Amino acid sequence: METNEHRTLTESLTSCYSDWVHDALDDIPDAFLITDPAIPGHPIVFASRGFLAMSGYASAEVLGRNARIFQGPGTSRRSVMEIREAIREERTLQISLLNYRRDGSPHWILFHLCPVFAPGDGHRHVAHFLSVQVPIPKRSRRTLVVSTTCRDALRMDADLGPDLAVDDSGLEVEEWREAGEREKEKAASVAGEIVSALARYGKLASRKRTGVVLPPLSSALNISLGRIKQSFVLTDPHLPDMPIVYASDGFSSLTGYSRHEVLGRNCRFLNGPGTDTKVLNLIRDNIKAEKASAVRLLNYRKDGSPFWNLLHISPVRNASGKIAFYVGVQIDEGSKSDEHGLSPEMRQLGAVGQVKVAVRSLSSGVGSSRFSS
Amino acid sequence: MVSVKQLESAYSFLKLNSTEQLKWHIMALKGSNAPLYRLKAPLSEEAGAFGEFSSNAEEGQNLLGTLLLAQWEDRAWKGQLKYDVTSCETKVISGGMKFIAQLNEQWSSNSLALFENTDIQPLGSSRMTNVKICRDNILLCITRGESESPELIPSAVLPREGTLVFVNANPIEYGHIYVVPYKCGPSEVLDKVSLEYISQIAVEVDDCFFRMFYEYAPSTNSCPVYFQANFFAGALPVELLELIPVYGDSFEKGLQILEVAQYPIKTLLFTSKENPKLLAGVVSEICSVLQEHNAVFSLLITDNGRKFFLFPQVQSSSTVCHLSAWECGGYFIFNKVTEFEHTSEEEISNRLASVSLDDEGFQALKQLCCCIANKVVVP
Repeated sequence: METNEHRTLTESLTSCYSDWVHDALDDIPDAFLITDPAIPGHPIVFASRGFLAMSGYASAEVLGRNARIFQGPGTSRRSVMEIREAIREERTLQISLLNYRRDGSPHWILFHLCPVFAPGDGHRHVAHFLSVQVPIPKRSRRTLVVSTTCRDALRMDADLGPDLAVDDSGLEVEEWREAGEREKEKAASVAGEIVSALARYGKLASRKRTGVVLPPLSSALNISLGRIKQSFVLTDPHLPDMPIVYASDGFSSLTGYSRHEVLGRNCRFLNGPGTDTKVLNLIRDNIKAEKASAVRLLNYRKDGSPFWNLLHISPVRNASGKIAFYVGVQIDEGSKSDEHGLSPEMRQLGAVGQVKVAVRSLSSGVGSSRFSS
Repeated sequence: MVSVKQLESAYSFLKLNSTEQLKWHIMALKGSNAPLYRLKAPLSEEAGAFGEFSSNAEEGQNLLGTLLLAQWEDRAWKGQLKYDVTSCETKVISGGMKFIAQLNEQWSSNSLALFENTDIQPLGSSRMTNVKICRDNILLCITRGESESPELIPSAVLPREGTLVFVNANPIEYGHIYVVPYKCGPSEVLDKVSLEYISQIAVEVDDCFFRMFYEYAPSTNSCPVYFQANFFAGALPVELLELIPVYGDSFEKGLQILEVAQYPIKTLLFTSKENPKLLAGVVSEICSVLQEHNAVFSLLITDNGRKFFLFPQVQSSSTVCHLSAWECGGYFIFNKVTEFEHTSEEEISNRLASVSLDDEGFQALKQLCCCIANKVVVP
C-alpha cells in the first residue's frame, strides 16, 4: 500500500474524530466496516476485529478496498443494487446478503448499512457509511435453487467447505437465509453503539477533506481561478454530494469560512433557518437539467449572521465540452457598484465568464479522462 | 470555409451603396443605448505616447475585460446565441505543432452570412453583412476618454464616434465578439487611428486570454474595418514557436520584428515591450501598404496588445480559400465528426502552406517592413 493512500485512509476517520477513535472502535467486538464515499472507489477505512475474525482477512488486506470484494457468485445482484441505491440516497438499509470469506466459503449475514454524518457541520453531510454484519444462523432446510441433486443439497447442508457453494455444473446452490428479528435488533443496537462512540470522539470543526481526498485541480487552473476576485465556489457534480473543490478568497471574505473548512463539503452549510426550500429545489432541478440558476437565498456566515445571497449557479464545461463543475458566484444583496460603476450583477456574470474561460482551457487538466472511471 | 467568390455572389444585392448603408446603420444605432466604456486618456507624446502597457491588475479588477465577459455571459444565458460553444469538443492534434481542432457541427461561415430580419440594416456589404445585428447584440460601446482611469456609464446614448462591440451569435469560442470602429461612417482602410484604438482596447481588456483578429481580402470591396475577438485560455500554436529576429532587438525600448520559425504559413511578429503607439503605427503603415497592393492578410493580436502576428496570404483565386486569422494561428473548426477525428498535423500544415507566401515574396515583405519600421521609428 502506498504511503499516501494509507494516510488518506487513516485521515478519513481522524480528520473527523480524535486520534483515539481507532482504539475506541477496537473495543467493540462486533463485525463492522466503515467506508468513505468521498475517496475514489468508496474504500473501507476501518474493519473491526469481529469482522476480520468472521471473514478471515487481515486488516491490511481490506483497508482501501471496496466492500464488493466480499461478494461472490452466489451473492444476489438485486441485493447489491439495493445497497447501492441506499448509499446513493444516504439512508439506512437492512438486507440479508451472501458474502464470502477469504478462503472462499460463503456465509449469510444481515447487512445493516447506515450513513454516518460528519460531526463538524451540524451533522448535515455524510462523511462515512457504517455496515454492521450479523451472521444469520441456519433455520430451515428449504433449498431455493432446484437445479441440483440430493447429494449436493446434503453436502450443502453439511456446510463442509468452500467448494460446496457451487455444484459441479457451477450453479448456485446456497439456500436463501432470511434474517430474523433477533439479528435485526442486534445489528441496529450495534450500529447505535458505534455511532454514539464516534459521536463521543467527534471533532467540532471537521478538518476532513483538506485537499488530500479531493482530486487536486491542476496548477494551471488554480492560477487562472486565483485571478478572479469575486466570491465563488466550484463544485464537482461527479463526486458524491457535489462537494466544493475550489473556493475563492472572496468566498472566505464573504462567508467567514476559510478554504480548508469548506473544501469537500456540500454548499448546504450556508443554509439555515428561513432558507427557502422551494429555491433549493429549483436549484436542484436546474442542476439536474444542466441549466443555470439565478436566485435570492437566505444564507448564514460562519459567525451566524444572515445575508441575502444573490446566487448565480452555472454549469462549466471543459475542453471536451463536458460539464466539469458547477460554479456558484455569491453576492451579498447589500453590496454596491464599485468605484468604476460596475454593478455587483455585472461582476458576478463576469466571474462566471472568467471561470468558463479558465476551465475550457486545454491545459487546465480538466479532461474527460478524470471522470471516465 | 466559404470562398470570397461565394460570398460575393450570395450577397451581391447588398453591395450597392454599402457606405451609405453603413452610415444609415450607424445613424439608426445612434438612438440606441448601451453601456459606454471610456478608455483611459492618452498620455502626452512627451510622456511616452499613450504610453506604456499599463495594467489595472493592482486594482484587482480589470474593468473592460469583466464588462465584456459579463455582457457576453448575459447574452449566452438569455439564449441569444445559436449554440453553447463550450459544449463543443476541442483537442490538440498530435504532432509537434500542437494544432487545435474544434468539433462544431453548428458553426459555418455560411450560417454566419444569413442575417435574420432585424430592425436595423446590416453594416455595409460583404463579410460584415454576415453578422446578424440587432440592438440586443450590442454589448457595449468604447470611446476615448479624458480621465486617467477608465470610466463606465451603465447606459448611454451611442456617441458620434467610437467602437461598437457586438456579440457573435455563432461563436468559435467563449466570448466571441465583433469590434467595429466607426466615425461619421466606417473606415475602409485599417488606418493608424483605428489600429491605435484597437490596440488600446487590447491593452485595457488586460486579460492574457484575450485575442483579437483582423482579416483583409481586397475582393470584398468597400469592406468596413472590423475586428473579431475572443478568449482562448491558452496559447494558439503559432504563439509557441521559435522566433528569428528580423529587425530591432529585444533590449531596445522600441520595436522588434521577428519571423516565426518552422511554421507552414510564413508569419511575421511585431512586438514592442513598452510602446504600443509605435507598434500600432508601424503595423498600420504596413497594413495600408498591403491594402494598396491588394494583398490578402490577417492579423492576430495577443499578449495584452503587445504582439501583432501578420499572416500574409497569396492572392485569391477561385480555387484557393483565404484562411481566417484564427486558422492562420493554428485553430481549426470542423463541422463533421469524421473530419474532426481524422484530421492530422499534415493536413492542417498543407492547408496553411497552400495560402503561404513563397520565399521570394516573403523576403520582399520583410524588406518592406524593415523600411517602414525605419521610417516610422527613426524620426
